[in-house]
Amino acid sequence: MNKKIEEKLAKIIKEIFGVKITDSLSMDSVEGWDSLRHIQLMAKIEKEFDIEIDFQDTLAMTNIKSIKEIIEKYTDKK
Amino acid sequence: MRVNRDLLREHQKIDRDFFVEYNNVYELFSAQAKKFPQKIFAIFPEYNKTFSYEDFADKVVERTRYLRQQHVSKGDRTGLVLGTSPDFILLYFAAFREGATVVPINPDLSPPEIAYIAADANVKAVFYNDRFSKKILEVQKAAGLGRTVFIDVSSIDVKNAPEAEDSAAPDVLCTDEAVIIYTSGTTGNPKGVVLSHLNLLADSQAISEWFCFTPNTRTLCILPLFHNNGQVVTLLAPLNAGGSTVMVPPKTSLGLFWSLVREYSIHWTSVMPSILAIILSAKLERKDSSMVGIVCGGQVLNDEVKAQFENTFHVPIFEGYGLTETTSFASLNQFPANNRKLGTVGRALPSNDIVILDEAGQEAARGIEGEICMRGLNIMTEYLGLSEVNKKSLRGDLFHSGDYGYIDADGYIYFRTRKDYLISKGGEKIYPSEVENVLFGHPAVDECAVIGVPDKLLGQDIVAFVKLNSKCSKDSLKEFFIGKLAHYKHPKKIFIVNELADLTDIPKGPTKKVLYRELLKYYIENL
Repeated sequence: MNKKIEEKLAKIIKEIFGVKITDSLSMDSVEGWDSLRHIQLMAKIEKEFDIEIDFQDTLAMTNIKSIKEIIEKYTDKK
Repeated sequence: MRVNRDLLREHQKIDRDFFVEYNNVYELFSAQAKKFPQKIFAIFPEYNKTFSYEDFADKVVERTRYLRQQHVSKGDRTGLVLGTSPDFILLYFAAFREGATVVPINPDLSPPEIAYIAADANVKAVFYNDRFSKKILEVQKAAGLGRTVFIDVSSIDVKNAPEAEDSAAPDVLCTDEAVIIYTSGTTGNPKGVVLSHLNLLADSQAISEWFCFTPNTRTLCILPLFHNNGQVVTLLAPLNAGGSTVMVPPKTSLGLFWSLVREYSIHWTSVMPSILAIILSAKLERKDSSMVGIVCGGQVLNDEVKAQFENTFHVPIFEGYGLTETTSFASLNQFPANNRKLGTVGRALPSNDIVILDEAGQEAARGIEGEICMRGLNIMTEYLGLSEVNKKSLRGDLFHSGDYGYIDADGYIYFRTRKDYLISKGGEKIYPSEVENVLFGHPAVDECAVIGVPDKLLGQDIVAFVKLNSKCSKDSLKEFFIGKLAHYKHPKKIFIVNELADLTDIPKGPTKKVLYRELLKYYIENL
């Protein structure tokens, strides 16, 4: 993942969950990663990266590893 | 096995004929699988899997063999610490086939909370998903679980497993225990609500018939499966009609609500009021033409949210009333939508009678407010191991809900107040005592009181008032909850009364009982 994307994602994670990004972060380990925050996260990612994520991918975005992979998939397409 | 109507009649306790056709939930599933083998039974978009009734039935039998290998048999209890997944549903029906009880456990609970439930229900095996393996390692260390087996479902290899003894399935009666669902308890510990096969069959059949479900009906299960609502309304009710269910994980799916409805041509779903508020606030766009209605219960639906939702999306909301103790819904508004009586929680389902008792314990006349009580096929068997609570709640032939309301001349129920001070946050029930117990463990806390305050999105949120005996920051108090209670039970705000100009103490009555109503009034007026 290129540095610019990584930095942008780190900023989003810090803003929404108040934590520093690490590869081990997941929906099950971050306090407060609930359905409302997930909606905010998806909306922010789509806005900041100017992408539209389909529902199959949204369901898979449950941890930082998968979020990075999916963002890369969409930004590569552009 | 032929349906034992004498046994059913004995447990019917209502005057009308409302009969379930099966002895147990597995029999219902098996009968529908024979009737509709090629029809879709369940779709799991997260796993990219679609199962026909026949496919799923075969897999249930495989899981049954696995349960036998693990020596899980009739009368045993199995804990499921699984999110919404094929594994949850496969083990659910496999356990029913073997006459074992399912104890669904919220995976978001902390290790001590999971351990408490597993020990209280005396579960023989706990099945978990590898996502929760770290948490389960902590649970395994807890006292009282020495004989419990913990099984990671990804380790289950049914294909290569040696063939277990394939003896005939045991007779599972309608009165046998089916599930135990834990709800918050007044003492701080959750209570295990024991529901029989009859409870699940009757309530799901009543809901299916109420909304005229057919084999073409497709529901969206967006509520977690450790709750009764998700299991009964969106899985078992369509199963009664030979319909299908799209099962999605609640946390990741809410933002996709209308996309999922369109993609899978969903007709019905069941939600908590807070979900409607979130969909509205997220400004999601409706994209389908399939949705017939949304069932809503679990907490009071704000009139403004309801009107705004219906005006925005043009989908009728059917409000109802029920508790875990009534399996799911005990009453629902009438279908079709123009038969609804707005402002009410509808009429009693045919599976139960609802009566209002006055202060003297006599049946109140129509229009008179009193305690809402029920009798019927969907009323729980008991609270597990709580004889005193059972005596109080299951008096005479009625279940005493502790909730208050009245019934009008047309039989529509008006819900008034929730019992005690139970906090209902986004449909999750939290007793103040659970939160207070943690706060009281902090060395700087002298006194505390926890209340539910109105919240636009969640219905209610948690606020704590504490009196300190030494200096301590609010952040430090908030951090104190981490690992002790599930995150959704943490207070949104903590107020230190020593720092409030016009509240020097936590208000108490003459017997030193905390006056929670006074605190709520203070919060609304001043904070």
